[in-house]
Amino acid sequence: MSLDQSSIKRQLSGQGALLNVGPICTRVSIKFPSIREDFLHIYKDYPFLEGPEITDYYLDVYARNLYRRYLRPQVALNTMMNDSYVPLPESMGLLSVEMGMNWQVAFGCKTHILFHAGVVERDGVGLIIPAISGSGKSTLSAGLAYDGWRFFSDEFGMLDIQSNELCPYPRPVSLKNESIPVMKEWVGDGELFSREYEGTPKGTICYLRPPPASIEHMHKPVRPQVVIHPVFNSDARPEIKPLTKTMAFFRLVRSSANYGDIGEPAFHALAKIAEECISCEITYSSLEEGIRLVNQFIDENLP
Amino acid sequence: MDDAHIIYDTRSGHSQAMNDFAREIFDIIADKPCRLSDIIVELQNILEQPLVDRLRQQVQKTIVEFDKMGLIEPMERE
Amino acid sequence: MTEQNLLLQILKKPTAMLDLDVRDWNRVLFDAHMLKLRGRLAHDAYTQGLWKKLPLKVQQILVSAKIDAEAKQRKIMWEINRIRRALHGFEDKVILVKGGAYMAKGLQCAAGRTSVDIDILVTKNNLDIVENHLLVSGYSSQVLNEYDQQYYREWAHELPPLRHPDRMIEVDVHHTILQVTNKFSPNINLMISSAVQLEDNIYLLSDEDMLLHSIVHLFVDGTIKSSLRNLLEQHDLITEFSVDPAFWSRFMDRAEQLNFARPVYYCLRYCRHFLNTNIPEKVMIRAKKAAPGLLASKLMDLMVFRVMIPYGDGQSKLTDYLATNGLYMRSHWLRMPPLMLALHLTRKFYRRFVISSSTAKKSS
Repeated sequence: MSLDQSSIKRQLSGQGALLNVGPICTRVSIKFPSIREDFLHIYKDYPFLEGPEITDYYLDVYARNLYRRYLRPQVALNTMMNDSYVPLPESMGLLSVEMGMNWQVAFGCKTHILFHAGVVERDGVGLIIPAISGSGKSTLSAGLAYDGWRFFSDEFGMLDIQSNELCPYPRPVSLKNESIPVMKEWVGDGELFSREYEGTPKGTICYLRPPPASIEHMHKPVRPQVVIHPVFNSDARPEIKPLTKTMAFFRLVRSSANYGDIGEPAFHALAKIAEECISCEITYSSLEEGIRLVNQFIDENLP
Repeated sequence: MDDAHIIYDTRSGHSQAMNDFAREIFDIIADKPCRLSDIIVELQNILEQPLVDRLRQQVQKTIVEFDKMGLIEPMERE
Repeated sequence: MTEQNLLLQILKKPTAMLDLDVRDWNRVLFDAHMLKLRGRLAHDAYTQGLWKKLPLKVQQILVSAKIDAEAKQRKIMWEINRIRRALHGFEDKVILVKGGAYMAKGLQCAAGRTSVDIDILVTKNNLDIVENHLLVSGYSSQVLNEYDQQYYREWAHELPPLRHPDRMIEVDVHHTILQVTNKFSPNINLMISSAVQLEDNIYLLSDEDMLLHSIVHLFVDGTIKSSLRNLLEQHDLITEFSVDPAFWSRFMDRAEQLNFARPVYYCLRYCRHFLNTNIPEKVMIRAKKAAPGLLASKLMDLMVFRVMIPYGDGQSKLTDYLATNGLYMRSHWLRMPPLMLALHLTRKFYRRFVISSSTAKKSS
């Protein structure tokens, strides 16, 4: 099924290589060798399919003309989905690839309820970590993933509407600014990280490959049982605040990207999660503390 | 749910939360088309006492909210 | 050449979906995505009982398209409800046109359709009253700038688009169906007075006028690029309306009365060519009387054949581009007198130039 590196590279530069992550199959083509290197480094453990396979999305990373290819290299992106990306300099090319794939899933996927959330699993317990940007959900999800949990996603929680189970979609973790050194220390192995991309609109960005076992088991779903809303505040005292079921419900609605599109089935699915899962909000000031609070809440409350 | 009623409106695709009071009013309207005065009479029957002014205003506000959410509509003559 | 297109074959005969291999599916799904026809494919697969026989992956992709279309339709139908609420107390006709009308009437051509805005038609003297009702109910004008506002008010056939901040569906209020300067611009009062009531003050155009409006929109007003979807809409309307044996003569009479014989000829010709639409020979002969001269016919054929499905393999991208833009020029030409057109295009070009040079400055 999976291809060797040189064939993948050849496909990437030509018609496109078929990257499979969770339920989604994307044909990626990249016309810049340096971006191909970055891309293959961070997607090293991922399955590239030999094909032909029915393809969900097409992502084309190209230069608009020779000037933009060689003299002042600039990366243009075509997601075929009404995007209007500002071209980035070649040195930030991987960001374009990642943003493009995010865009396609965020606007194209309606088979699953999408949460703007991290998701991890341990001992058959699915944990949803919904949050706004800057709350440290990526760091917390990745921290848990490199502390014995199975990594599903740091950005897109996916709930299958048919089965009410969470589907893994383990794309590389996107780390920002202060969280980069924190995670580097936490994970140890520097080979798992991408280069650091400085001066992006969101500051410095660095990508982290999920643990190999999480990628290997990317087709194994889990039932959601816990929802934890994280609030990161470096001066705050640690706190666990329980949520009423109504609050839990509306917070899930708010964190979902396609709730309104899916409509009634999404209403029932989220009501079921709010009814059956244990939910809380945690405030934490460091990664260790966040993980400790997560474990504490689960140990004390999960039946 | 534990502290509120959550409804899904299949036409608008919106989810709304209501407290018990709003829910009572909603049930009265859902029963049959009526005027504001009808709702107040019904509520007085349910509570078995006349409504104080604050509650009357509350009813009116709830009705305006319902209209905004598109849960109710005005009839030909008002 | 276009006959070979797989998507077209499937639209004509949905059971052909069962014979596709992986490569075929990728081609069909790609074309359908670009032409906004995936929702339609999903609908056809469901109603023809083919769904369970499709590859799982195809089902997954089409489910997304189906949910997307349903969501957009729910939003449109809800917006119609809200417009009706906003116009409570307005006594005259509010006529739904295009996508919203097809959905409200439950027509076949609404199946799987993904409209994102609503068009309504009112008489010109009601324009301000209707706009006012909508503004009072919280809608706001999406005015771009002084020049555009002026352009809309003076020359366009609609108000600057309105939108309610809670719902973000664009509502276009028209007072006629073509730009006032267009030589095809019809006597709109005839269409308005024949409109049929749907609910309260919400009306729909008569069947004939509904089809004519679609035709005018495609062959006079719009660009023909990627408009297979619009042609399919006309095919569906024709197929559904012509069940009534009296439809054709009513329709052709109306087309001539409103001076739309030429665009109707185009519609019938290309519907038949691309979609095998069932059109009686008698009707075809009558329509042909309005055909353009031989050279113009050939040119039109050349352009339409090229651009109807612009993503097919093996076609030169450049000729597609020229053909498409030729049609864009052509539809602009019909809309405005030459001097005005020149002014408008220069201004557009100039503005684009300003925007691109300012972004260039920012990036350097």
